[in-house]
Amino acid sequence: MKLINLLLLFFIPISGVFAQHTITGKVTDHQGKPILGASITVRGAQQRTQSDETGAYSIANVKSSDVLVYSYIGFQTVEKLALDQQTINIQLKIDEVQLSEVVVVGYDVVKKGDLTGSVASVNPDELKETATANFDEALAGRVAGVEVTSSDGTPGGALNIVIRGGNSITGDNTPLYVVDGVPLEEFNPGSLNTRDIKSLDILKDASATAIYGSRGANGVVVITTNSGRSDGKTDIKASTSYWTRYIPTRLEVMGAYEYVKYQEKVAYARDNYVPAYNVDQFHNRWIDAELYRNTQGTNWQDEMFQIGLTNNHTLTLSTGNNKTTLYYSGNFLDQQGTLLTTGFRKINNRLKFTHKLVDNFEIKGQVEYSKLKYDGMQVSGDQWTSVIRNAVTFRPVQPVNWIEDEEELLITDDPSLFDPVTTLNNTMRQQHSDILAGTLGFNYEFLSKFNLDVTGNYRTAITESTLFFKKETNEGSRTNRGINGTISDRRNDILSITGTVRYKDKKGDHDYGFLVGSEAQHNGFETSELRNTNLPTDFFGIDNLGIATTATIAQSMYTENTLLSYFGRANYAYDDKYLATINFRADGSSKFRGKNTWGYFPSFSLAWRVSQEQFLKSVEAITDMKFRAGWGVTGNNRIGNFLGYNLFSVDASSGYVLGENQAFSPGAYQSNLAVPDLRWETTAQTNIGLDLQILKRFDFTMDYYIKDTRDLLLNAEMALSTGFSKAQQNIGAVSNRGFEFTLKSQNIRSRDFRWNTNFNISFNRTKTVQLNSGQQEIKTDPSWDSQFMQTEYQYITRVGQPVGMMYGLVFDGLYQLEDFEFVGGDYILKTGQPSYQTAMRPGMVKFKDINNDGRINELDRTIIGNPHPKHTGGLFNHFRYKSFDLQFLLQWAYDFDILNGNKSSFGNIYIAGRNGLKSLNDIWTPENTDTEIGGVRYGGVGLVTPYGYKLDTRHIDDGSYLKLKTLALGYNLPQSILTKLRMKRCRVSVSAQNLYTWTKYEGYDPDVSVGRYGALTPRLDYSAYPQSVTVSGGIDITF
Amino acid sequence: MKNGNLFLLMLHIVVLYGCKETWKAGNIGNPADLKYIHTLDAREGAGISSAPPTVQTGGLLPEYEIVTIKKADGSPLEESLLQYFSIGGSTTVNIPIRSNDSVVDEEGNLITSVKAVSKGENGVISVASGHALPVGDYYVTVKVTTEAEGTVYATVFEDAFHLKIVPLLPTMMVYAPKNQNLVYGDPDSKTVTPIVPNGNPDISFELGNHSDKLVIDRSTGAISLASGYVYNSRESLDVTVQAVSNISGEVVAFDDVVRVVITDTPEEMEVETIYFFYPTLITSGAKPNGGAGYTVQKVKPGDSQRIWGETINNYGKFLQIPERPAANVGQMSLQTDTYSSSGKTSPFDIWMAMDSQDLTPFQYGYKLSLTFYYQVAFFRYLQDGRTPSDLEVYISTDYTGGNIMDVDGNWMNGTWTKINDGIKSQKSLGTNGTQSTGAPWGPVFDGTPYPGDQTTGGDPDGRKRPDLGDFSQKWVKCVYEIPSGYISTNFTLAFRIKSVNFTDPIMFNSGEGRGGMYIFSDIHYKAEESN
Repeated sequence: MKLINLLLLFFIPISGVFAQHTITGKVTDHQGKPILGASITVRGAQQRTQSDETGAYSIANVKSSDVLVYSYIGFQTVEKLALDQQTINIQLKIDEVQLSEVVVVGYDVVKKGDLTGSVASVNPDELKETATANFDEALAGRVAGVEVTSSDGTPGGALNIVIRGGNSITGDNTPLYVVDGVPLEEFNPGSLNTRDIKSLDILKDASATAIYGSRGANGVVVITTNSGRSDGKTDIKASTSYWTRYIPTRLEVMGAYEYVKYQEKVAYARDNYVPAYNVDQFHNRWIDAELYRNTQGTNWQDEMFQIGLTNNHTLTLSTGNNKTTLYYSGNFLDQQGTLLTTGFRKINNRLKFTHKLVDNFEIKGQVEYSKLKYDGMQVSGDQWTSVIRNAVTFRPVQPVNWIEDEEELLITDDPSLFDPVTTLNNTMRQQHSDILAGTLGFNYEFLSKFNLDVTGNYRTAITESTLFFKKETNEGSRTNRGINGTISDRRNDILSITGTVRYKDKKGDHDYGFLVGSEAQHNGFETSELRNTNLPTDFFGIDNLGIATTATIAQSMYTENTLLSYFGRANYAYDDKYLATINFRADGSSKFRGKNTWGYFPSFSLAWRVSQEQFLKSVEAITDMKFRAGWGVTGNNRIGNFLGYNLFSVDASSGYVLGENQAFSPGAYQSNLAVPDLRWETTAQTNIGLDLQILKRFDFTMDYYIKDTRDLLLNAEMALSTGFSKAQQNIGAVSNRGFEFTLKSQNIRSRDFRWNTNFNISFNRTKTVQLNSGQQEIKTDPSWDSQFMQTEYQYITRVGQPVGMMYGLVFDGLYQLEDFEFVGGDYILKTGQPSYQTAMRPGMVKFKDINNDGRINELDRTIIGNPHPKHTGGLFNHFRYKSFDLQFLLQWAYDFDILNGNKSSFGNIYIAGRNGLKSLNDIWTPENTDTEIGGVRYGGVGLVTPYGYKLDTRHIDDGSYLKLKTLALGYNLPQSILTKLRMKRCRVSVSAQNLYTWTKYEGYDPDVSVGRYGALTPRLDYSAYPQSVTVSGGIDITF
Repeated sequence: MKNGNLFLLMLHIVVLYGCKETWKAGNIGNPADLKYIHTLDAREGAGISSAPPTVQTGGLLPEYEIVTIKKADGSPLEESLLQYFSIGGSTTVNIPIRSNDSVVDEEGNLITSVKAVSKGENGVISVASGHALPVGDYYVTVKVTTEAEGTVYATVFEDAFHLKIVPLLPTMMVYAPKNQNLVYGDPDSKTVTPIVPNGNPDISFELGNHSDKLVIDRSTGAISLASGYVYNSRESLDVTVQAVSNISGEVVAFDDVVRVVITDTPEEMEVETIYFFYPTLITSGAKPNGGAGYTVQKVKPGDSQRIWGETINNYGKFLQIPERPAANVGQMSLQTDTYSSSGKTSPFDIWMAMDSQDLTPFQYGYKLSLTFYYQVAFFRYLQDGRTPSDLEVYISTDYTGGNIMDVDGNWMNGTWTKINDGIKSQKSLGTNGTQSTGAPWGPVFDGTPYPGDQTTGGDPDGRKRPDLGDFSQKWVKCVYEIPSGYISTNFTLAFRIKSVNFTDPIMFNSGEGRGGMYIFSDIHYKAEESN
């Protein structure tokens, strides 16, 4: 109600009439050409107009004391006192900084117009206006060539960002983050307040990323945070928003009546349709299925999903003068999960300052501290237990004739199935992270054209994870570990120092510059874990593990790596038409041995601004046009610190007891086979691009790239005679080819109404070029449910095919009666019908006999799904009408497949007592043959597909989707009210995130990928934390 | 460009919504897609049961009904033959509810049982065994009806089930005797015609081998020498004869069904004797549950220390049987003691069943018999002269295994016929010291002998035959010619040693008698060719 009153207040018109006159004139650029759409406003008042095609404008009701403000993007803003002038003509000068929409590239800032590589920028204002906890959640669909996918909807969970397709097969494909100049391989997006982001640039091609050498192959995300003001003014910004989050979809699970009918079908089938033991058991438990026809039952998803509330508050202070600047921001976010007991809380603090000791010497520094807290049990990724599985499969209704002993029977039959709500309420998992970072450096300008910049950074991330199973959990009551708790601690320390010297000069038409630098980084990582089991009580939770009756051996570990680098860059531009950039970096890493310690990463790029040529200058429509081409080599070093060495381990699993009454003695074993020649994974990338601007309204960017990665850091299979099944080696090659297209247009830019559109689309094709010597494929079992899938390979990476293809049998309907002969009371498959077990029956699932040998076995598995979208993209629209603004972002991924583990596991019979998807009620029976769901039993033989036959094309779903990712409506209070309220700006807004998804996918959300082996197992959906819809309302005030 | 954006947007929406269909649940409607496995190889006269059909009803219980049966030419089946066809339905059975007293119906009455539907035979089309349907094709039109919430759904499925009856092929061919003499130079020399006891008689005969030397009469099966045959020396040919159905052209081959011996002068042909079941009886222990070729049932074990177990007594070790197969290494005699070590004999009833045998291969052209040897030792009459124990011998053709009789004397798992009176017995006259050894054998007499020395003691029952003398510690050879009525695929022989003429335990020491020790050996079946 308060909010409504406030809104009404804002809408009250403020009137006031003073003596005024009209001013006309013309706005031109530095060459005297008229500027269309230049903004002319009266400072502190509402009057506003725009110049027309001839540059002419007219603005009324101007008082002599008013100041007119002339502005246009790319030009310096000009302010003029109106006085009594009737005509004011203005020639705007190019604003080097604005025009550039400067982008931060490696160790430097360049104008976008001077870019020779492929770099994309994200408008941080757009990110701020989304209701997302961390900035990465808002990135999807905004940049061509940057695929942002979710593992699942876990609050605060990091997203998967892959730039221009994955290079590595078994390695990490996440980009390098560079925050305020500090390269960070292990970066938690939660440690950054989205409102602190001043710029976010993504370096995509090698000519841009080569300056980051061994860590640049996966692309680089360069983030610069806000700084204090230098104009003597002070801004205090406060923003607060409240979110409501909910899970919009449910897996369609059988209700009470359907479940009991299903149980009846199962019982009859098991008794071969002649009532015997199973039918007797059914009726004695359930009496009659019709009793449950109107029973509501329990939808366990509804029971464990909840409306999650979030509040998010930020306060920033920005102040300073031409000597000293100061910036502070604090952010508090408390996000309640949409699954019971889950949530995410964080506090971000950032203090940043600069101080000029003398005009050419500036000290700079910042301190940041973040505290992140994740609550709730791990929803996906557990091979043995799953709360989503429990929610889907736990019976929705109890039998009316229930005897306690029968509960015990059910537990015996299916011990891993547990009441999901009880599980959630009794599983205590928390993760606390404290991230503290400090930066100190200076900038020294000397000899008028040189600039020395030195920055040192120390960053420590301390994470403690606790997990406690109370008695009322599967772990606590049905395993030999009983009530138990685990505490794990991790600490990551990064110490780095970077120094650069820049030189820039211009002589005539020659514009050139050099940069040289060096960087050193030390990365230390330590862990410890302790676990006690069989606690007599869960009363004290994780806080008193000492009362346990069984202790396990505590573990600890420390590892480190160092990196020393030298790098340089040379830029040259002639007449603003021909541009060239050369980068070179040498990285020396402790991860590699001998001659492989050092890696060298060169790149070069050229650009030709055609629009500056005479023959195009006459084409007025083309206001800018630039061809770009570049080539470079980058690397990937993301492997363990000592994999180049033979490693020996001593741990709890390697000990032995020599005899009775003897103590446990630890034993050592070789845990890693050294590959002394281990070296960088190398990616060579060629990029050809075109930047085209039409009428200063439409900006097109097109890029085509070829990315070839060789010497893959592959955890490759070894001959077992070596004693190792796998070892990290430089083997194999992967290629990525792609095309990206971006259009930014200012569709309408009238005085009161502006409409901007940003459209991007990306196409990428990945291909496995080579694997281990003589190896044609890597088959992978994502191990998402060890009980159901056992060890069935479900993914394959095969030479000539994209990485991580889905692999299984091809569904070919169900065996029906006509496939059999009836001989001596037995069903015998007709000649030509393939089989996969001795006794086959109607109602079994039939698979295609790929190799036509009459047997269905592993040789009949084939590629059945492609997880790589044909194209991805986003369509962003921003409207501004007077004081209102509206934006929406549609994001899509088209034509890719999802391995729907939920459907495979819950949509087919596995353990008959379990509930499942509604499709289970459509199981094959002699009276229900027109179905794709296999039966239970027929003709004395079980029909359930055996282990090894669980995955087929039925469980590969088209994941194409179009998502209304962001919808935001804002209202900026008019200046007149702001003045009265002594505010500089006030915006109230409502927004929504993930509001609606158009898709045919039948799971919770197609934006999911919970496979545990990265690029080898993409787009797996099993027991994933469902994605949530967020609706929020907020207010931003600047004082 | 605006239009371009909109087009792209629309394009994606269309593409996204254009692909797969969703999962569907079972739909209720008229029954559809009735499927039978057609029976295309039914033999004349043989009973037929189709596999249960499947039909799409959306899960509703279907009711099947035969509408018409047509012959291959489309004409309806004669009324007289319709009787052989039937179609199975579902039945209801009561399931008792083991309620915890809380389960009541809408009126508050405790639910004690519910009805369940037995669907195992639902829709199964049967043709009665022994039917008179001629060879040919038959098409059964079936109506399927379901009902849901008062609405009846029905569909008639034309020619849903196809039955093809083909000629009954012979399963047996016998030339009796198997060895047939063909005399070169005798134009009338030919074999006997074969016996082809079952199958459609409309067959002809062909040679499966040796057609360069022999010819066969297509209609009778008699074999003679080929006209171009030139005799060199005596030779013996194992001949395969094929029976060819004149109706379907199907061929059944009988390998080596006759042995033709070609001579230039007539010869007397040797007849064949086959000991097709001659178990070693090897077992271990005193009271096994069985051994090689037999199983044991102890209805009342009494005081027996040894029941159909390994023989440990010398009396069982001197029997000499010339026909015993050389392969029967370790042939064992079985010993059953009916008394305890203290001489007490309690009532007992002990069975031993030989493994069931298929005698049908020998039903034509062979004389079948069973033979066993036994002796009774350490036996004493009761005070009044009667025997305290006796041997009973039974045969069965429908024994299904397991117990033969319960403790109350009720038969189980088969019907049995006592054959003691049909057995021809001979007493062993051969000795080795004090031990009975077998041959020479005394005169044949009917039945099994009364145990013990029949010349001693009283004979209140009048069963003793003094002329047969003393049977103590004497092997008795028993032969039973198996009547043709008992030739079956499941012929079983069983021995029963039981106490008789007393109900309370008896003590030998008090002179009341002793049940004795029964020793059995060389139980076997024999098939002898008949001329």
